[in-house]
Amino acid sequence: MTSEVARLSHAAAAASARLAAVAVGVAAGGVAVAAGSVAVVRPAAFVVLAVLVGIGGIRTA
Amino acid sequence: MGGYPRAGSWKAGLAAYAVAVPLGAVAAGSALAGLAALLGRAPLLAVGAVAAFCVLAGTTVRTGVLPQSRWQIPQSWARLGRPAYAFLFGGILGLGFLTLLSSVGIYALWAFALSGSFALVWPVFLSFGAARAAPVPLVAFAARRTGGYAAPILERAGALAQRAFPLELAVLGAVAVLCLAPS
Repeated sequence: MTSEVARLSHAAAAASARLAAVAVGVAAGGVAVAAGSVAVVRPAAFVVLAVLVGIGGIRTA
Repeated sequence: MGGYPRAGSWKAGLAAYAVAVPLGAVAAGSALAGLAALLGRAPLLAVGAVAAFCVLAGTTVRTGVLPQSRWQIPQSWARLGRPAYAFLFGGILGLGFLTLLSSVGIYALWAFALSGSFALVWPVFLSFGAARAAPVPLVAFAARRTGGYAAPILERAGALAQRAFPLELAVLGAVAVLCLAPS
């Protein structure tokens, strides 16, 4: 029972962290749009995303 | 990549792998960009929609249901010799779609390749390939230096990458906004 509570608590914390991260990312994107720097920021954001997706491959190793 | 090979063969295998992964990644990105140039580029709105879908999939932990290949590179190919096997292994991993997906965000990268010019696409896929390739040589050298096994180091690296997943979701969120916002 205790381990089940711990597992659920861990899952809830992970879900909260993911949602908070998305909120931060959306806000950052919004700031770039408001600043009119989309043309510069968008390609750079894809490069950063590519690095993170590539590193993520180690999870499936 | 198993066993305790001669040092030269071990290093040649790692070098072949480290070169092949970015090559495979750039080949996949170029093929998609070429396809888009032939058939018409996808609109940025579609890329934004794919990125938003990736965010949804990543936050609801539904990544397992996304379509992906579960094919594994046959170990019997090792008979080709260590460098050749490592090169094939790396090239196929770099392609990104023949084996398990590295992460949910790869769908957004593919959508970007279908929307962008080759000049914008290749740096993105080269970055993906370099980052996809880097952990294996790093882990191998760390294991070699400490005289230990690679598996526990690989496990720790996997746990670290798992903790970095929210960062990927943050960038996916930003990418979705940057593509969906009217320009």
